[in-house]
Amino acid sequence: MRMPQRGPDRGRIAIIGLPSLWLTVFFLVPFVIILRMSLSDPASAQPPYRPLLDWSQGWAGIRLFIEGLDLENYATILTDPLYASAFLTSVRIAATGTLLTLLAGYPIALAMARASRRWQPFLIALIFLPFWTSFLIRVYAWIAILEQDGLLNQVLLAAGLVSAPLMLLNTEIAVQIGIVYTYLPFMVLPIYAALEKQDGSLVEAAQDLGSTPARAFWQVTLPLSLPGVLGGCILVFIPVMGEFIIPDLLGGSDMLMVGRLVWTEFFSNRDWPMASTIAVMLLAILALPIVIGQRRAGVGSMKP
Amino acid sequence: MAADSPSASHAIVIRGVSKSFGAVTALEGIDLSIRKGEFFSLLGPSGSGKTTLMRIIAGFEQPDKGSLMIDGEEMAGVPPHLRPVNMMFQSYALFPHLTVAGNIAFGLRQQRLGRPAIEARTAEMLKLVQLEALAGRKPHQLSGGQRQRVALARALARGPKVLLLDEPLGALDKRLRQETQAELKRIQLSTGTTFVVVTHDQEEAMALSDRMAIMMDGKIIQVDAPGTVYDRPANRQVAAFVGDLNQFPARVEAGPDGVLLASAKGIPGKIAIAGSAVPQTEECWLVLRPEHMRLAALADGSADHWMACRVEDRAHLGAQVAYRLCLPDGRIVLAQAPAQAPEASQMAGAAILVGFRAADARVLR
Repeated sequence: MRMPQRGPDRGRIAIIGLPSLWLTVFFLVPFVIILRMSLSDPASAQPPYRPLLDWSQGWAGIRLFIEGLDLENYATILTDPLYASAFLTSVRIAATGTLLTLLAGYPIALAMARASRRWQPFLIALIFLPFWTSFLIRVYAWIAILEQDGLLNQVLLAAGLVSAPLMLLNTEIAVQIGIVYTYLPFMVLPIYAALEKQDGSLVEAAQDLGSTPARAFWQVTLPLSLPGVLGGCILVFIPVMGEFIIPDLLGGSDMLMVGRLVWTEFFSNRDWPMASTIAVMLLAILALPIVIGQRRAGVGSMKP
Repeated sequence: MAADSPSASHAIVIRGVSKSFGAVTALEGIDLSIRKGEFFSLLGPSGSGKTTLMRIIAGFEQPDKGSLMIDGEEMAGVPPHLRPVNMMFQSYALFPHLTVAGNIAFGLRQQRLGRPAIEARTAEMLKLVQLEALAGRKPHQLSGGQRQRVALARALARGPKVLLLDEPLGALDKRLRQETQAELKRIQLSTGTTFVVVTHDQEEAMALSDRMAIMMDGKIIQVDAPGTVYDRPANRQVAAFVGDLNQFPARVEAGPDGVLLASAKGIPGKIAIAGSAVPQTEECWLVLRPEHMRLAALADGSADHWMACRVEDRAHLGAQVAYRLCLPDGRIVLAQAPAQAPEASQMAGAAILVGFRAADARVLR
């Protein structure tokens, strides 16, 4: 009886084991290193943190190491308003950016899903086209567009729409433009996927039952695409929370977001433990709502 | 039916409707009147234009030419959501995010009725299709037959003047199909709604309809009661579509006393045809239904014409036995005999006579 079961068992071990191994090597181990660093103190040495684990002293060394760890950095983050304000700024900008990306992305996804089958692969390719150029270069290009004597201001002035050039670069507007531009594909594709698999006769059924085309959208198309909307929002919100390049290049020096905070602590202040602490806090803030959300979704789908 | 004035007694009046999709002509010069309270079928093979005609009635397609009146009102330019018709979709198109009750109430909510009125009407519909116990379920938790009933209740909830049903039984298995046929008929009678069914299944159309329109290649070939279509089909294609058929190439000539005489290939003698509109010179066919064929060991008075044949194959269908018979020229003839009849005991390979009465024969183009 045991022999026939070995094959499937091995398959199952491989299916669960390979991703687990991947996650262990590339997520869990680095995370443990970061977590351990966040509990350490900075030091003017190489590596720049203490305590270090001294294996040569055996158990005593391990005890000394554990006694050297503390939650001091977490206490600093929770008490110093600078960190709190950076986190709040990040949440605000990420939330606004996600909403703007959603507003820009949904109509695109809807138009793609309603386009003729023949055109859809081409339209998807268009959405991906910007990825052929380096992200950094594309953000730099926005500087040329948004700066005081940049392309946009020249067009606006020439068209007589403004009398003086607009201050766009180094404002939150520029950051939001950069976010919407950069993250649009991550919003469009999940929503498109949700809309594309919708049965077209559902909208016809809604209209047949007395819905105007607009009401049919609100009552049928939109609710059925919500999983795609949620997926797109997660794909945009999470990376924008830790975004460093866009606020750094387009947002000016006084825009303090979490990503820049980590960079400053790590490279300017050489405070690796504090940089790690901020990273752990960011992860906690992002992971909690997702865990809760998934639990809800799981319970919801099981309920009759 | 001279008393019929289109607006008073007809739910749907279609005049000269044509529709093309690019180079493909889907409908050509359709004229059709469907009476109020009628159970009407649009029957035809796939590609005959029946679904396009239904979608024009529902308002999802616009005719290129011609006019459509529903309940006496011209429908040109009226969008689907303002038409007094509702449709039961072939896929049912139930809203997956709404419960059974939510689906049924959907159309009522668009009418902005008060909550009590919506709830009362929803409960009434649930009762009509006997789904009270499942009101809180989502569509994916229902069986195929239950989904079909939700779709029916949803389409009837607004009290449409005309209910359109697109292949209503197509997705059901055979047993459920028969139950549902009876159920549809009961609901149609109790609500008095005009039902228009689109189907390619002739048995379904025959069982359900008061009248039916046979569609082929974008045209309506015949509109009649099911029995009339079966017994007096307009042409050979219609005859073959609504049931099994034996066909013999034939010629018709005038006999004495104004009787028409047909001579058919493979049939000895001339067959006297009861009044037929087929011109004598034209190529035509003598057709016979399997149930009109007689089997006998010796020629007797039960048939006017007899042919020698060999039993190729037989199938016991319960009350009837179906035969495939082979004539000397290789032509296959289908015949049916009651299972209790002595001639029903013929075995494959047996030599036998097959005959028919001249009165049962039809000459068609």
